[in-house]
Formats: sequence, C-alpha cells, structure tokens
Amino acid sequence: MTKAKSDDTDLGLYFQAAQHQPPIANEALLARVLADALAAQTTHGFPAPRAQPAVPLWRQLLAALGGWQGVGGMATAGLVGVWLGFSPPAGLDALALLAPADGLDLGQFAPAYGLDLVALEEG
Amino acid sequence: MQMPFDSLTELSDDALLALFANGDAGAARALTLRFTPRALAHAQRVLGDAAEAEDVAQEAMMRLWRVAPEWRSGEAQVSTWLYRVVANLCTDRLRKRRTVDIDSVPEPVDPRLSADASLQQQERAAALHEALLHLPDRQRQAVVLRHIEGLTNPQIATILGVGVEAVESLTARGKRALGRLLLGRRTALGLDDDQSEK
Repeated sequence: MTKAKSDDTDLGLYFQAAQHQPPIANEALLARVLADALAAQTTHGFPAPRAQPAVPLWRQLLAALGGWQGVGGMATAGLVGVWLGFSPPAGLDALALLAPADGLDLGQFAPAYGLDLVALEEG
Repeated sequence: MQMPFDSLTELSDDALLALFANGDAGAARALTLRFTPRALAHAQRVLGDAAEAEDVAQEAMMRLWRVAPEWRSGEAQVSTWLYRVVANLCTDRLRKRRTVDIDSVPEPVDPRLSADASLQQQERAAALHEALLHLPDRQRQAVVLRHIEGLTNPQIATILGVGVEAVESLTARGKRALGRLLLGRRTALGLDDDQSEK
C-alpha cells in the first residue's frame, strides 16, 4: 500500500515536469495553420458576411396587418358585411325603424357637460 | 463582421467557430492560437516526433476548418472533437510504423523549456516522454490525456471512443508500466533524494 502510494508520488513528479514543459507551437506552424484557415474561408465557399436582403413590400404590408391571421380576420369581417347587406337578418328591419328618419346626430351621445367645458376653455 | 482580436479571445469556442464560418479572419486567428498548441502537444507526446506532430496538428486543424460551417453549437465540445481527431491521426501513424521496437522509437523530443525549469525537471520530462513511447498506443493516449493534459475520464472516453471503465483500466495499466520503465532512472534523476527530504 505504502509502496503503491510512493510510486504514485514518483509518477506525479514526472507528470508535473511534463505539464510544466509543454511542446510549443512555433511561429511557422501557426502561420501555416492560419493560412489554411484563411484559404478554407475563401475556397470552400464559406458565406461572406453580407447585408440582410430587402424585405418585399407585400411582406411588409402583411406584417403591418398582423400577418396571415390578421388578414384572414379582415377578409372574414368583410364577407360578413357583404352577406348582411344582401341578406339582412329578420330583426334588423325592426331595429332600423327605431332610428330617426333623418339619421342619428353624434351630439346626442355626447356627455351633457361637454359643451360647458368647451365654453370654459374658450373663455 | 470583423471584431477586434482582443474581444475575440474571450468568446466561447462555439461562438468563435460560428464567426469563422461566417468568414471572420479574426476568428480564424483566435482559433489557430487557441487550439493549435493543444493539438501539437498531444500529437508530440503520443508520437514522440516533432515533425510528425506538426503535420498531425496542421491536418487536425484543417479538419476543424472544414467542419466549421456544419458545426452544431452545443452538441460537442470543440476541444474534445479536436483531441479525438488528433488521437485518430496519431493512431493511424503509429499503425504505419508497425512494430515499435527499441531501435525504431524516435529520440525523445527535446521540449522547449522555460528558463526557470530546473535541470531535474527537464530530465524527468525527457524520461517520461521516452517511457511513454514504450506503452501501447491506447494506454499512451489515455495516460497523456488524463495525467498531462488533465482531461476527465468521460472526456477521454469520448475521444478514444471507449467506455469510462476502459479509460480507467487503460490509465491504470499505463501508469503501472510507466512505473516499471522509470524505476531504473529514479536514482539517476535524484528522485530518491526528493523522497528522503519529505
């Protein structure tokens, strides 16, 4: 047991010595390896860094409208509107009778104090 | 995008390889400086021949350049992958040498020593390099990777394509063989004196 430990210690000294004296890569080798690397970048068709390709206008519009889901929702809403125009539901006529003949005035929905505030602001 | 070299040296291996694959020359330089010494050190310790070791290191690095565009970040460690390539290239060269008898073993590599390395340390390192060349290939690779390069057993298992238990067995047998080979040199190297001083 003691002998084995002693052998390990001895070997440890050898390993330590080897660790402290690693083979050193000389400048010529490093230059050759770097030359290989740069040649590989140019001759093996590595992609060169480049600017992002321009995004087509239709893709930009699509993105602005919320992608395919957004456009799908808009198309559905449009079709429902057309459908209601051609074939309104039965209850819709009764609802239309409730509206005044000359149309609705937005002022009717304005809060009562709205005009007072405007008067105060204008002095 | 070209980045300043100083900032590249702090990037991970994977990030550098990705930059290299995108044509960054600075990444090529950083990877060369980071990995060539490791590839060379292992090849030289296993082959015992400086010129052959340089060829192996250059070939291994060339394979790294070629694999860079397809490298999948996080799937493997670049260093482990490179050690595996070096190990295989060394095995191929050792097989070509066929039987390695005492006469065909190359002279131990004269390591370039740091100025403060003691003469005793130089002699120990030279004796170890010489003894290593007498071990079977797999034992030699396992011992070098474990006890000189400082890799873990699972890493060595990946590099050598064996299980962890096989690595433990290889290093144990390798160390026993080294112990026998170095036994006769202890007195000459003054190791007995070291022991008695403790």
